[in-house]
Amino acid sequence: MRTATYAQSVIRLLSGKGIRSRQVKSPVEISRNGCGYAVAVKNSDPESLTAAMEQSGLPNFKIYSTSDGRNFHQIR
Amino acid sequence: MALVYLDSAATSLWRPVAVAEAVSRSVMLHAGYGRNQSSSADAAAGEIYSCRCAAAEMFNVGDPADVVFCLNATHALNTAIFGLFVPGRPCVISGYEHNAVVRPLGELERRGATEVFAAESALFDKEDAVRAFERMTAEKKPGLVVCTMVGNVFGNVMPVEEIGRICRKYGARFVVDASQAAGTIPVDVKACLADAVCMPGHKGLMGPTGTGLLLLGKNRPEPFLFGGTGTASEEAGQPETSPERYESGTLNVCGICGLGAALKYVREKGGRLHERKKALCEIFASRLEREGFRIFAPGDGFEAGLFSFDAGFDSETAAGMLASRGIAVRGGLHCAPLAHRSAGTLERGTVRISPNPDIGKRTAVRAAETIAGVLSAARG
Repeated sequence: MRTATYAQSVIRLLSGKGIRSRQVKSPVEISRNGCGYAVAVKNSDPESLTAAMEQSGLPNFKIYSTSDGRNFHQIR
Repeated sequence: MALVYLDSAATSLWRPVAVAEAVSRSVMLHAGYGRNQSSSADAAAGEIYSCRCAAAEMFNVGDPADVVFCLNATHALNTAIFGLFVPGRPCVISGYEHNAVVRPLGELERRGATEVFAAESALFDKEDAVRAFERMTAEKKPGLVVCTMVGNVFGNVMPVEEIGRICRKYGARFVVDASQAAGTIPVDVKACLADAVCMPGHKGLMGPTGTGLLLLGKNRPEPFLFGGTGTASEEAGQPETSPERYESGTLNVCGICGLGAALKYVREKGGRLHERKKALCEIFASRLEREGFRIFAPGDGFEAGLFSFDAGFDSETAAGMLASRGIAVRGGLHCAPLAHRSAGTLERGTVRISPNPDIGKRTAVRAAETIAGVLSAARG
């Protein structure tokens, strides 16, 4: 996502679904553009995360998983 | 004698402790916002967004992203006016606007970009104001209308919801100056049908100086300040979406944290403080009126928590006399010569009283006696 404000709105929406998250800069490995933001969720079940995002009416999101913070695998 | 502060219409002196605590905490913990990837930046981002949400809820904005942080109301008004005026079409204002409205429009007029007309109306007459705006808007077909919600000199409440309907009817964009209204009377962006509502954080909201809000409505202004936004650095143009489109440079993070605490406080306790300010105005006005001073006030109470009176001689001299006795008022033209022209007080200005809500009744009565005594003796 391009702005910190949007990232914060996603964090609030996820918090409302009981999912804790935090704002991070978009990793260069997954973002084609600079100065973007992502929301990092720790140890979350991808299915419940996807459901929470869809229920919140958020369009066009992508979910990536990583175990080392350098290699990212798109799972949605 | 301890300072008796009667100039909260300029800046609130008394602020909730929570505001000072929030600012202090931010000074210690927040290094920046939206630039680095530290826990400090994360914490700042969370608090900034909380303040946006609080403002969006309080002023019925809808989307927190439509809450833009500015340095003060003047910054917000310049952004709104320069960003929303339509080149080649006139602008219409009320007869009670502050220089924060008059000067940006004056500059646009000087550049030949617009012509400015005042929809003059009688002081404290809302129906006359509606008629004046209907007449002027129908006649001049402005691209932009700007109106104060509460006049800063006389505390006159303007019918901005009706004026908003007039603007919609004639296709004019509408900017509301809520500098004296915010934190005092309800401000509802959607109800005003405004394209922008502007306010400072440091007056009725009792937040820190260096804060202000630009609340966005239907028509979006062009940006006024260009630069780094912590987003889309590879692009030479401003971001397309608010609030980042209008927030270039580093935000006043500490101030905004304080403003967030202030909004919370006003939401919880604002009604009680408003009643107190009205009651204090009544104490001062009734004492001055008994002494024969001309009071400018509507007939139904001091809704805006401020009023002006004619000292009978130069008002800045009068204010200076009171300052030497520890009573802080404001004299002069209050950066609003247009308002004085409308009310016929341009020659010597007025003394404005806008009490801090923490003044006790006994202090107010004593101060009112002092003001009446000092100014009566000086007036002769």
